[in-house]
Amino acid sequence: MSGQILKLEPDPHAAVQRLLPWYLTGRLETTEHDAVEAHLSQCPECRAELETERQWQLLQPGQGAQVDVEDGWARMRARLGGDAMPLPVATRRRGWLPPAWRTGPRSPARAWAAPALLSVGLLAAIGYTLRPQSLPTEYHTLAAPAETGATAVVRFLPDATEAQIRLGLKDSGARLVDGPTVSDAYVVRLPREHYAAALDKLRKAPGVALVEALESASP
Amino acid sequence: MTPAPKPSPRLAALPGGLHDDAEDRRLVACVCAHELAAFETLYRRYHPRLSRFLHRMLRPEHLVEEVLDDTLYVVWNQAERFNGTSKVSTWIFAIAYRKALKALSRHDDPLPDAAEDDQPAADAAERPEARMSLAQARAAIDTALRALSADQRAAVELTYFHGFSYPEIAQIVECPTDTVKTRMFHARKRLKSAFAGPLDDWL
Repeated sequence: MSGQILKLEPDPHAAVQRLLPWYLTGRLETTEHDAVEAHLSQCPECRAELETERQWQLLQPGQGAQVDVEDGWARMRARLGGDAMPLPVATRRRGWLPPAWRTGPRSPARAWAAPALLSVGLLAAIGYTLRPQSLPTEYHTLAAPAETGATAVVRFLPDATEAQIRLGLKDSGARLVDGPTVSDAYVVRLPREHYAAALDKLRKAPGVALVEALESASP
Repeated sequence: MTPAPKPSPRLAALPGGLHDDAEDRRLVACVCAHELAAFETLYRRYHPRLSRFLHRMLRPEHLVEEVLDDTLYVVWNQAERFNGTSKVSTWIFAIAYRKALKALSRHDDPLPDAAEDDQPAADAAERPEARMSLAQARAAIDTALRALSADQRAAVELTYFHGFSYPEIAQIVECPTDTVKTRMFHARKRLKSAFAGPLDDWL
């Protein structure tokens, strides 16, 4: 008997009996699988048990009255309400809206307070995203160099193609670092040493509607 | 030598089934960034599986819709809490399981009781002398499953019909792996007691 699991159990037969359901569904680790298989080759009782369980699985019982997925999604969409607005990632991760406001029971006070709080949150998000300083980079690898570029806000034309956007970013040396913001703008980082030239290139790129520098363009 | 079983095609074909964790992880990352389209995709992948699981767990069926909605709402609101140490499906089913147990306790449904483990299953199936039809057999197993404790039902359902391994089930129901194996063992004993004989007549 080679399986490790059987060495740990005083009764190999009982150990295999307890593992049969997952042998049947192919969800055992290799050592357990091999141990069960070795035991099955010698044990008619376990083979019979396995066959019974195979029958149970084939007899997958009725699923009852299923909840309709379309109805469910419509309910969920209504429940999300303001939560489903495309808020900046940075804002969402900071949990600006307390969980109790998102999950608690509806009340008349919430009817006006929640939208008001949402508005305040959105304004804070805009201010946060567009503030004139480098955005914090949330994740660094140990070998990642510190970001030294200068930031700008870009809005693309509604009909801009992915190829146009990619080319514009590449030619100007820009890297997307955040967005979309609530006004559908993106924050990009440009080479600080060529900031003015990079801004100019980005403004002239096809598909770009607006570029606003967030830092001084002079070196 | 008994040939090694492969994962059931039925399990592999489930939406969000055995081999879709990479796509689930990508979707959860997008949900963290508040991408509604990604959430809708994740919602539609998990809705049928959770619906089935919760129908099995919750006897007052009107609770299924409520718990299903609450579970997926948590996925939207707290996607960043998924820490990547388990499969996405394990994380989502764990949320659903906890909410189902809370709903059961609110409605005074009996919670898992270790003393039940050795009792024979209720005589749920009608135990016909003659051949059972497929529909009758399915109805009988459905009734027999409902006679199990909630923890045993969860173990059977997650193992046979959702394809989770026992360590994954232990994560979902937050108990030691040996407890999962024991619950499953006793559940099988009770099912066997309810189905002594008739399945062979037609399978």
